[in-house]
Amino acid sequence: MDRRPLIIDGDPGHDDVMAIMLAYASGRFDLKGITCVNGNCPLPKAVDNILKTLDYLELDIPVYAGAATPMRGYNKPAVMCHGASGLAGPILPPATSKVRDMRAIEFIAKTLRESDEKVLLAPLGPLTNIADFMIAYPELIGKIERISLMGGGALHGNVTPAAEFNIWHDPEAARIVFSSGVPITMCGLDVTEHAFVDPSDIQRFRDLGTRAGRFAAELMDYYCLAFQRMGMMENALHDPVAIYALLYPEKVETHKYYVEVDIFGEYTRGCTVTDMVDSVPGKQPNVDVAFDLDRNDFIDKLCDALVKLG
Amino acid sequence: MLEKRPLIIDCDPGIDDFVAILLANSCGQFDIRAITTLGGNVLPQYTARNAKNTAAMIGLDCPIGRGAQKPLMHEIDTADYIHGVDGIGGVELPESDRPFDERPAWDIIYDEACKFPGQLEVAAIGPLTNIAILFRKYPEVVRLIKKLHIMGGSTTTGNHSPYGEFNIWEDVLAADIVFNSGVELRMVGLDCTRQGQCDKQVWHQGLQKPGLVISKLREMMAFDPTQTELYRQHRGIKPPKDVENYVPGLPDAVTMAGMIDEDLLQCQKYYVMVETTGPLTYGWTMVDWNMTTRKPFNCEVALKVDTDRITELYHQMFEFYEGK
Amino acid sequence: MDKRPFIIDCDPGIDDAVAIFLAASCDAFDIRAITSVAGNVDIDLTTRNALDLCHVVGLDTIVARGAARPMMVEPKISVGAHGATGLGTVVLERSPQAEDGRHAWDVIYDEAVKAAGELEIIAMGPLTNLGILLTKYPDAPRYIKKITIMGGSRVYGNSCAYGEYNVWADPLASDIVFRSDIPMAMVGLETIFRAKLTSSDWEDLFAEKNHISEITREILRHKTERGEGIMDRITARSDDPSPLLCDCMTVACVVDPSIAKFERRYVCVETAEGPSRGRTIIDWQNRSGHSRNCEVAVSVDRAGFKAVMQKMFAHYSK
Repeated sequence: MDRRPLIIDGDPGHDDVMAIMLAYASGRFDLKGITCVNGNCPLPKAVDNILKTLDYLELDIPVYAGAATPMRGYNKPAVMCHGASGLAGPILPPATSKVRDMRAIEFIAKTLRESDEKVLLAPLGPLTNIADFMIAYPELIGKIERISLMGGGALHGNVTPAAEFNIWHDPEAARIVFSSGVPITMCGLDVTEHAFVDPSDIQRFRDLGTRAGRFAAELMDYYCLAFQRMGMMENALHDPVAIYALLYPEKVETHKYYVEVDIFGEYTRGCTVTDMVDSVPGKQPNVDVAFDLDRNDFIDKLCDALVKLG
Repeated sequence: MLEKRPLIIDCDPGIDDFVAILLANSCGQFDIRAITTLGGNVLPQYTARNAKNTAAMIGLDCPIGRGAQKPLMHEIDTADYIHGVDGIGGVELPESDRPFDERPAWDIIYDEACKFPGQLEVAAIGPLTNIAILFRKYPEVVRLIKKLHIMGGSTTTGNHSPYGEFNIWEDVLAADIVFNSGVELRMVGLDCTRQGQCDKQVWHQGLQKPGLVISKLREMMAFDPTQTELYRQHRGIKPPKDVENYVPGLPDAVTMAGMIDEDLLQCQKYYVMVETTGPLTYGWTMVDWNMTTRKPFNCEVALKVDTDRITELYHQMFEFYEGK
Repeated sequence: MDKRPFIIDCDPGIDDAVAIFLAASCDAFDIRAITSVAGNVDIDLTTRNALDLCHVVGLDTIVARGAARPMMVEPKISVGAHGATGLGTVVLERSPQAEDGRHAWDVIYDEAVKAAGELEIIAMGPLTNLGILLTKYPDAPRYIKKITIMGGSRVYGNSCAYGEYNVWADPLASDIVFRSDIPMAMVGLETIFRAKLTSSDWEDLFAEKNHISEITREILRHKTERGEGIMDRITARSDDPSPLLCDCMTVACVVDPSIAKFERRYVCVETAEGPSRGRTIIDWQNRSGHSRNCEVAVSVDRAGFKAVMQKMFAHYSK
């Protein structure tokens, strides 16, 4: 089977790392590179986290630095669930590989320009890099095959009742991406809440006996503990769902709706307003919104990836 | 120490952009590195064409670049009710066959900023989309640009909407990005430019001088948009333009004049915010006059125009183009 | 047992009509006034209908005219949804009673003061009258025991993606009410939809034949023919075109609170112009730190609601 070209954009991030592992190990993508964005943690930390992780897992994927601030410059890192470093938990040796010189959006542009086929994008953090790319290279938007993103929520938010963190962190960027006309799969809270890990899953990762499995278990230990400390039982593995949706779309329940990103509301800024009641006549559905997935299969596939990575 | 000041004009010609370019070229102070364009006053294909033809007509041999086709977040909304569909009131400039620069506007500006670190000045006299993309793609460029002069905003009332001055209104997200970028910034708003009219006699005498360039300007001044249905929809019913006595406002030219003569504009530093969501005040540039936000000043706000000085500049401009 | 003093603020309106029948049938309620507001139809029609509905059901109470338009936004009448008169095809006998000369909000205040803090309000239309009341009389909260609204929604709206009509039609007034510190209960669109009666439920209810059940049947015919029912992602567009009687279910929750399950949360209203205007934002996770100002109905028992309706129709057979 041909490997589909893919760029992952993220703010590593515990679950971003799990997503990258799933994508790489599946063998079904030509993973061109990883672009980093400010979100879960400041940009330099995001870059460092991903470099350390790739070195540790001995994965040769180029890393590019992107936006250090959201489009409107308000910086709100989500320190709580990812630790101050953005990847608290496992102790990793310092990175030896370096971030590439090319800017993230230039790398995305170059990849799209040089690719014979359209390219997949999997944004796992705020959509700042994708929006910056779209405004600087509007002529290349047509070469994006699909965007499968982790973000938003049709039914509710997390950081506020209406808004999910990635979209909330840069609503203007999200608005630009969602209105771009590119096919979008939105893996928001509606589906990712079904993709949780529990202690038996974490033990299973550990019992796989691979370095990657142990690494994942350590990551998840911290991740789940952090949520418990915040009084939340939630330990959903959000980001890998965006990759899973690209690999096994038949296993993810989606419905196509018209989605508009709210940048205006006092309480609803950052909300992915999803019209599930056909209330606005004449608006064409523009987003495949994911609502559910086969959790057992999702965990199985993660385990497969952790075994393959060794 | 450079002999001439390196300058890039980012614009959407536009009748007043036309005059601004004339002024910049005639004053002799600038090394105009490029003219970059975007859609705004009218559609981008017209603004680009007008910039190219204007440059050729006045003998300005610099790259002409094209930039944003639309504002960052929504479709373009033009002001052709003021400028005519083609941006210059239907006036035909000699068509130049010089090709456009292939680089997008923001890459051109970045390249020039790198060539002249700390010295490049930019006059942005259209919507700020190109500048915003420049800052998003090359965040470090804010330190390379000496100063960005914008024609935009208003400390009082707008033109396109009650509080929205057209350039800001057309792309509020871009304006917000620019005002928060940290670049050395001067804002020349409508409240200021409305004061900057040339002395009537000087203007009309100048317009009568011989030469191709001035004749084209004369034609643009004779263009009367006020009687079209399109104009009426925006501004209501107005009496026809009194061409004999008309002295134009030319906000872009005032902005340029302020760059040419440092004493022409009286300015003061403030913290300025752009209203990006409020339905009534959308596009308003709010100046924190009393420093109640306690935020550091981000902008030099132009408050007053010395009309004698600007009259003198126009006078010199007419003399320069006489017979050309 | 002392009767509970109530005022019903409404925009009859098909479902308001049946809700008024229900409220009037409840022996425990002492309905001090029915106040009208523009909403489902314009103020002339809602006021007329309020008068005539009181007449047909034998309810002797004040009827006062309220706001003709929302506090800040343009009026949004749901054209056709309730028929030209607001009551579908039904024509009621004209009431000989005249409107009270006072404005709705003045009546509400007067009655609230008279009831010395015991007055409860059921609001089944846009909240304009209450918004004006609270603006004109800042001390009104001292005299109002509780406001129960038919309004808002957990998620699915009808007027826009997340906006339910009553709140959406006047977001500013809604915002004022939710901030007022008056104890509130909210029965929202989605909760109501999930408990709506089926067509066969209605057939069972209409077996009780009397003047009121006949009128109800006729009124509901208009709604049925329009195929109402919100699009529900989970249950898909309802195949059963039985009408959604939001106001009626809201009153039923007040008549018999045991049929509903409420959870106390902080609720606020989005008033900014944009795609979320009119949305009731419910802080389910309690992360906002604001005090919980509203009892939100999370579920209603359909069988329990049906029983309340059965009792109502039986009442009118006497």
